[in-house]
Amino acid sequence: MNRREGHGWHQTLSMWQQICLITSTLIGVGVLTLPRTTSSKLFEAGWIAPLIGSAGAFVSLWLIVKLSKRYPGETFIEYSHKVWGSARRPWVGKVFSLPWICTYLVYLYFSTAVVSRVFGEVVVTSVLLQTPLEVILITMFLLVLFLCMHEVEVVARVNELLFPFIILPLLFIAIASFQKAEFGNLLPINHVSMRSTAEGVYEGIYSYSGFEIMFVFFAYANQNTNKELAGFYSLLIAALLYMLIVVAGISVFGYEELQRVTWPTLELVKSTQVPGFILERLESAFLAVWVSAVFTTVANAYYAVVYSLRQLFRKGIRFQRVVAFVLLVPLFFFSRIPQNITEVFKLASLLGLSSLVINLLFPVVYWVAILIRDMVTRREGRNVDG
Amino acid sequence: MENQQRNFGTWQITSIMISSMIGVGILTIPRTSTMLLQQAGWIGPISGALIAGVAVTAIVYLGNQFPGLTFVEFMPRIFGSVIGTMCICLFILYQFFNAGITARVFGEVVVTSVLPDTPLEVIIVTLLLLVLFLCCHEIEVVARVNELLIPFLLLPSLLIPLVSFMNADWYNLLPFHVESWTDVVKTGLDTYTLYTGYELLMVYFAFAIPGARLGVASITGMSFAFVVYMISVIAGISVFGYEELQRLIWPTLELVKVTQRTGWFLERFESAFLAIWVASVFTTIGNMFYATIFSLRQWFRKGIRFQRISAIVMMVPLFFFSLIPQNIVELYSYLKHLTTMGYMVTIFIPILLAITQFMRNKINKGRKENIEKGGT
Amino acid sequence: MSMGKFLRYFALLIVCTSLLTGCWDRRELEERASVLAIAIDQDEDDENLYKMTVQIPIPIKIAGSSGKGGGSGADAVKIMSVTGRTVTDAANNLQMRLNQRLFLGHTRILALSEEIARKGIQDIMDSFRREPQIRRLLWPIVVRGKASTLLEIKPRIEPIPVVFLMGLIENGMKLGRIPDQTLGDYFNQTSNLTMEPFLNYVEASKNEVSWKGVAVFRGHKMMGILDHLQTWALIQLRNEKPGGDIVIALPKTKNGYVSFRPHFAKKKVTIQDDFSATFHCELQGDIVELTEDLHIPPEQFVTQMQALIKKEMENRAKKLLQQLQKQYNSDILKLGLTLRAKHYHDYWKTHDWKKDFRDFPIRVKYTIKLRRLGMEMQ
Repeated sequence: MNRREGHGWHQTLSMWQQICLITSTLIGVGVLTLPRTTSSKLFEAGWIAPLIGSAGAFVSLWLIVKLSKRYPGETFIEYSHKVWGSARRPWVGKVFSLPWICTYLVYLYFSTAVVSRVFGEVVVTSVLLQTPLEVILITMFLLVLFLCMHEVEVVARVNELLFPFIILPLLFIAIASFQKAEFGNLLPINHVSMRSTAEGVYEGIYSYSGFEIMFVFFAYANQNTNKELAGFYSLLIAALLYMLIVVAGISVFGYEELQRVTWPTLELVKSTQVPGFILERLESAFLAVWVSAVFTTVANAYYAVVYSLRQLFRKGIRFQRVVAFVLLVPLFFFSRIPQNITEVFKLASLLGLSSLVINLLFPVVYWVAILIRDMVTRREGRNVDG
Repeated sequence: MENQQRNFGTWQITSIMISSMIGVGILTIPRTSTMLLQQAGWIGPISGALIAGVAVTAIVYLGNQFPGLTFVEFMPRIFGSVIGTMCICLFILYQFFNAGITARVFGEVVVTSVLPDTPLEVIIVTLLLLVLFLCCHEIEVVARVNELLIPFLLLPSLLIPLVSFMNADWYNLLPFHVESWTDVVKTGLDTYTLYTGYELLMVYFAFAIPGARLGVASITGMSFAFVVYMISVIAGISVFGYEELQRLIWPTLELVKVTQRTGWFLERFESAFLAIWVASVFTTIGNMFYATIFSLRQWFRKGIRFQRISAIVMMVPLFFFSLIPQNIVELYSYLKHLTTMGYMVTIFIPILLAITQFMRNKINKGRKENIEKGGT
Repeated sequence: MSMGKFLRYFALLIVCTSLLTGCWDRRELEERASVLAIAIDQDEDDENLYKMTVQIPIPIKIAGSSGKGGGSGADAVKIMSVTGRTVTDAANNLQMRLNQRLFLGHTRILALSEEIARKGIQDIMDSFRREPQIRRLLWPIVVRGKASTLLEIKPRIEPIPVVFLMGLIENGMKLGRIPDQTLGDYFNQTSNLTMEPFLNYVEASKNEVSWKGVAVFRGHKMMGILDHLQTWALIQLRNEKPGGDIVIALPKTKNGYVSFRPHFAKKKVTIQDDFSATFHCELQGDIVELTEDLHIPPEQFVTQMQALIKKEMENRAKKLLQQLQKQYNSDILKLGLTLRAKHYHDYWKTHDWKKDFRDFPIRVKYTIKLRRLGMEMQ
């Protein structure tokens, strides 16, 4: 049972690739609605939400890094049964790890569906009004499928390549829109109750979901890189970017108007006038570039699912390709389940809740399990010695 | 500072002199010199030149007496350390204020005539940053910059009046008669301010190559400036008539605008003129501020690093000083006060210095003869 | 690996075919009827119907007219009017009369007649909120009389009337004389609890259009207008834009005038502890005209003029506040925003700004900084 059999390559992800991988997965469709969701509960102080939300994400990601450090070079799928089972009876571990792995995969799978659906909705409501939603979804899925035909290394490189296309437009929009900003809209900060702060922060945390793919990808990080630091930087980039966007949204529109706008960030693009810019309808250009941000989010999550399945069944790249192809069909239908935009948002919000559970619960439970095991083995060891 | 090389050629000295003298004053000289003398306003530059000439002679004399020394070093030697220090202070302060006011006047011209919606601060800051850059270098660079920019300065200031002679009406210059000679003196005192800038030679002479002919350099410089002013005034009077000149805020700039009317070349020629004219203002302010900073450096006997830091530090009060006058009327009253201070610094002190030095030489010679006599 | 290769090529094939067939939303430029401006009036016959007038450029005419000159240029646009119960209804009726699909992505002007603005325009604005083609940067304008007259002008200078109108507004904006009130601003201001919106107000005659000031709203209802002098005071106090030249009659002269051109305006709002507001406004500018010589020394002239202009501007501001507070009761000064931002707990929570604005004590203090006198010596 050679673990390295499935992948004829080694741990090669550089620090920068890890950062790109995490950040580009984090930044997806959530940014388009972020100013609205955060300011709906926190009003003028909406920008605090991504800030506090990032704290939770930091802790969770740190735990994931620690897990991967304990089992270097192994993915979540591989080390799960070691955590839950004992050396003498491997099947115990396999059986007990199965529910965790399944939950993880199902969650990732559905998040892929929802994210691509949200993306489709954005495109259909704002630029391509006559295009059927299905076509947009299929195009996206085919692109994802194409990526899933390749090894992990390729995924890292694609993320690295697309990284600037994700960061720069957002940065540009946020900064350019400040010329219309009314900073009085950001004040006062201190009049929301604790309860609504908590609710607002919950909305903020959802925008950080996505880093759970690192359960898988950290296994391939270069041994010499500092994974904690990579995680820290990538969350920092995302947090700053989110904050900038929310501040821009609130200061330009005011929180009252934000509640009435479906895609605030897109409206921000629409109401930004860039001096000397010839392109009048900037939002089409923005969305065109935006595709890459959504693509990385969807593709990374889907890749994690497919790759995990491959590892679970200990198969090769060929299996991965077939699975990727086969799983797309139900994915397509799942993404079409919500009947209208309100249902989509409801589902997205539900997904946010589950991401909270997965991201915080999984690492903590795993660590508790590991610590208990350690205590037991130490006692046994002492017993043997004694 | 002792290791500063003395390598300014005669031409470099001349160009420093010309470019320090010709600055913002040229824009207003047709008005200032005709204010009292009316159609005979062209006498103004002459009488001004005569007054300035005396002081220049004194400075040249001092330069020859103390080769390789700036005023910071020779003033205490002549006047003793107390009065000498006071004179140095006065000189430095005068240069500092003059640089500030010149920058402001330049800003006013640009804002009034070409860029009405640009904040004044931006124009001044841009100019001062350029000056700051110059101040971060050794004195040799100043000479080379002046040498390089001199064509940009002389060409337009000669060309514009000459071209505008096309619409001159020579009867405006007649009749030639002088009402009162006191007016001539007064105008002379007014117009002599246009020649201020020569006092900077008290700094720059020190770096002339041994053997450079200081006298020739300063005569050439003076006569260049004189010719430029003279023909500007004549052009101003002959084109506009002295009555109209009184109502124009920047007569020479108006001359430029009239030139454009003749279809000679470029439309809106005054923008082009101002663009070139920036060079001349830059050299004026640059030389002044450099002299201020450099004197400070010598005074405290520090190196280039001190010079750079103090240039940056002094730039801040300079900027705020230049913004003090609230409007153009106030600016002119400040300018007037500065002129009064200028009499002191640019005329009395050099002449006094020269006379004292001359006397001292005489006495010393007498003493020496006495000693020699006693010896034999 | 052959399976993988096959799959790869297959995926590529599908991607290519799906991309190369073109898309559902492909509309060539000539297949679109680009609406440049929309005017909305009330129908003359039926009070419940809206009359929508649109201006559509005719591409061939525009290309031709540039060679021929302005004479035939007036026909470069097609103006059509339809009626409908709502805006969308009217648009549907219009589509039935057009050979091409209506396209609103290039709409720059939305003209509203004063009549319907006074009745309230919430219902009209709703469709503009939902329509994704509509840009938040378009300019809604209130027109005296019928809104359609604005689209029917023949300015001659430009073949397309809307381009002329856009130039007029854009230029005014750059000079700081016309406030830049876009549709997006209108949306923001109507949803914001602290402020009220306003829109530019114009009057159109047969060949011309002229800017008259702004229409002040309360909620979605127009309350009244501010003329250009009050508007300039408004944009000095609100947007820190200089506004237009200030022409004042000189006291103690027969027919003398002085004109002051502000170049920069700065404002600062302070709220005193007893809840009264003071606007401090600083204007920097030049004298551009003085029709009668005062024969006084320049220093005195400057101080006199500064005092004169200060008094004039404070009077204008007083009149502006009088109109806004007592007549229209509409806070378009963004004062409520300042109050909410800085005095949330001690003022905002306990007061209803929509009611209390009327009696809120506001003072305006101008500081005039006369910088230059132009190219003339005095």
